[in-house]
Amino acid sequence: MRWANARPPLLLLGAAAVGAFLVLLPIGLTILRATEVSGGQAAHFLLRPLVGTLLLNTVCLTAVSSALAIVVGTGAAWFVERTRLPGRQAWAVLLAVPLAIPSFITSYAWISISPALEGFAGAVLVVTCAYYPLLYLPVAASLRNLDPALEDSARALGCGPVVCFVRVVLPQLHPALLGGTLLVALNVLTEFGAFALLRFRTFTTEIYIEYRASFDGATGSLLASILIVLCLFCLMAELRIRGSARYGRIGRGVRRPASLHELGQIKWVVVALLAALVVVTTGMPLITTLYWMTQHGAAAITPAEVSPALLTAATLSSLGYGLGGTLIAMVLAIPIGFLATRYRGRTVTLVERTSYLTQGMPGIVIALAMVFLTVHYLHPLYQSSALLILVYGIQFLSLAVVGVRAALAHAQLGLEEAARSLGLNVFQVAYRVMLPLAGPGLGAAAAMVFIAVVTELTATLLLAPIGTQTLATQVWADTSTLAFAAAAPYAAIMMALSLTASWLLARQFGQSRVGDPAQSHQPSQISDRTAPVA
Amino acid sequence: MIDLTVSNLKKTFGNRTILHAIDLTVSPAHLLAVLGPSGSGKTTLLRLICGFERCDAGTIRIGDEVVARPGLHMAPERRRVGYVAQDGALFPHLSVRENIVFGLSRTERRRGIRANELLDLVGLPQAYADRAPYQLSGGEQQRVALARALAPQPQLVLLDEPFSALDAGLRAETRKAILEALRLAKATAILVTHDQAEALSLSDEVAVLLDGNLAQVATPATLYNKPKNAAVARFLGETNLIPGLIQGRSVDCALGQLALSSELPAGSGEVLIRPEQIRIDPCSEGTSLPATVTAIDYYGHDASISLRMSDLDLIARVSGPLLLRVGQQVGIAIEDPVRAFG
Repeated sequence: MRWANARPPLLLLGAAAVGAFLVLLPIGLTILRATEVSGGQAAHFLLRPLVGTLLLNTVCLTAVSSALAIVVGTGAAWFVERTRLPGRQAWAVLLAVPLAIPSFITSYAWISISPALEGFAGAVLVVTCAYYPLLYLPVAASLRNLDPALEDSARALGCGPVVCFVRVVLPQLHPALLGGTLLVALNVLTEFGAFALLRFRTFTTEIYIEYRASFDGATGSLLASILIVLCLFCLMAELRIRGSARYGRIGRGVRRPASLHELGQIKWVVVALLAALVVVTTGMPLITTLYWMTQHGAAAITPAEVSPALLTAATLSSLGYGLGGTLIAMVLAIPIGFLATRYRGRTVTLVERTSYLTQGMPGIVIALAMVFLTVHYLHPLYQSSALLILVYGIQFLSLAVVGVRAALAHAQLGLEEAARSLGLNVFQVAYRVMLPLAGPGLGAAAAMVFIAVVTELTATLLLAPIGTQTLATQVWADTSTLAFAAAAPYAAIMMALSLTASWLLARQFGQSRVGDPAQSHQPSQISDRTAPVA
Repeated sequence: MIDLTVSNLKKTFGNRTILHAIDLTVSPAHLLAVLGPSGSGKTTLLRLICGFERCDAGTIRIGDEVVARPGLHMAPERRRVGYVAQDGALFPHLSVRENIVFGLSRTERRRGIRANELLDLVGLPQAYADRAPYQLSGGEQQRVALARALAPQPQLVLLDEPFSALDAGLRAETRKAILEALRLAKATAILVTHDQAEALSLSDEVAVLLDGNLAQVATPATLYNKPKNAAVARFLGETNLIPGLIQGRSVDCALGQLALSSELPAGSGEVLIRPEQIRIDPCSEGTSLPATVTAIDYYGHDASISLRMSDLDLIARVSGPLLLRVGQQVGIAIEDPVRAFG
């Protein structure tokens, strides 16, 4: 419920506008710098075969890995949601795990066992492994939401199980499939670390090379602007699909739970296939990392030693930046979430939508814009911890806003008014009503941002103060020099942090529960945690 | 059209028995209502006949074909039954026309003639054919669902509480339209419902299902006037059931000696007095029994009066202008004959 006609207080609007401004700042700067390049020069630069190659690489990679992810994700979702598969609950959790593994760690795991995986094949493998849950989760949610009476009716009308799936179930999965594919595309566009390690050329890796070559080159901004436009396109299309094309259930009766298909003897084949999928997507990064940890530093192609002191320092700075980034993101997000749940109007929509832009903004674009800004105008901030934390806050603002909104939606206005009518003042309402209702959700939002910050690579690489190493930059540095064994402990700690935090979150909020109709109308928080982690 | 025979049908879920040995026959072109409170197993019975669930024992025969017996379970798509779900379950991605012809073969679908015919049958304008399901009201959706079920000319039509999700106004209109369409199509049909008035007014025959057992199968009039036992009587409508001593053709109870509608063996039992059998006399004199009005539920066309007579609570129904008030002393008389259960 919202106050339909009330104007939001100026202080709240101002606080929310800060977040929106910070989101627009790097985008505006990048585009502004791109326009500084003269027309002829820009045309010359953009019409190089390179841009075509990058576009082709991105499109091909998105097409091939989306196709694979659709097959794998839909198949897995159907078996988990609709059949009497042994261990359904466990599979539902295991299949979502890859989202908690940073994709550049997956990339590290594969490249460290075979250099042959450099290039397109490796990129397909890594992207499919890392992002198929972006299809699995929405398809599973759609299958859960589908009224089983539709399938019953189709069966009674003479359709066999296969025909029924094609004519009734599949059309209802279209929004989930299309939305998931766009999210894969968005991640392919914004991912940097995974592709850099695989030596696969995309816009992000090329922007990084431009930046390294000519520290302050405006031509990099041209590439970045193209990337921004592509990302915005995917983001808008995805939001549109999520907003409109979902087929609502039209009836109003009581829904019975879906009856599950018997698999008979095939079930062991399905179990074997799902197990293979889990081994490839989740087991592989874990096993490879553990393998390299048992190897002596010299066993890898380039020897490098790891000292406990370095390990501790990197872990502590990752945790510190994680907490700082989370704090900033939450401080920026809470006014926006409050505004969005309690007021409506053009300004409110504008502020909220703007905050969602970061979901589709490559970290490298934001980071480079902030480098430019600080080098030229705010030099004391350049390579300061404060700037890095601020950039984290901007990068993961959309993630925080989604969580905050969901949390505040639990504390409805009606409840607040009821409390006020019972004689509580504003602070008592906040303490006795808002906090108990929204508190767990706010905690979950913070935890999700924390995971994202700890596993962030790109901005950290570009903005970390000289001499500061985090877990992510250490994995990057050691893998770049092919010191796989040295990278392993950092990768292991990072995965342990991310997996533990995700597991705690999932256990607390039970997002992956199978076939629970009570949850079916809540958008899955895990599937909303699709902010590109690049 | 064709008949349905169910014999000795059993179903358990886990260790809960939902249906105990059900025997049921539906004559061709008849509408049978399966009436029961929620949890009585009526939807399970319907789903077993459709083939959505497997039965544990017994046989189901549709026409001459056995569709389920021990060791045989014919898939629902091969049973040629029409199924109308509680909320219609129209396919949201298809238009009304595409929904109606969904069960026809590919070539028949292309011609698409039958859609108009079926819209006529269920009393909807042909202009509805190109609408999306969400543009229809709940009652119209139900009619389209019936048209869709009738399109492949099924042997048997099964309706699972098709009116329960509709509000009162739509319900009456939709019931009429659907009944009419079923009669025109000369369909053999089973209607599952928990609504007594619906079952009694719509069907040719009513099967009362209580706790997984068929308590009675009879025409609506027989069922109301001659319920087999107290449980059926109680479920079919407001009743007064009071203890009494049966003596052949009459019964002795707190309301005096009353004539029985049929002779029963002597012994103690329960006397069934319908609310409309209690006549209220505003002045408590003469031959009538004294009682006190404890509550009045006024419905307009009639009213339900709660009465207290020493330690007995009774319900009576009166129609027309009401001259009673709560607390008033009245006289009551019973219109014989009554039914009793030994």
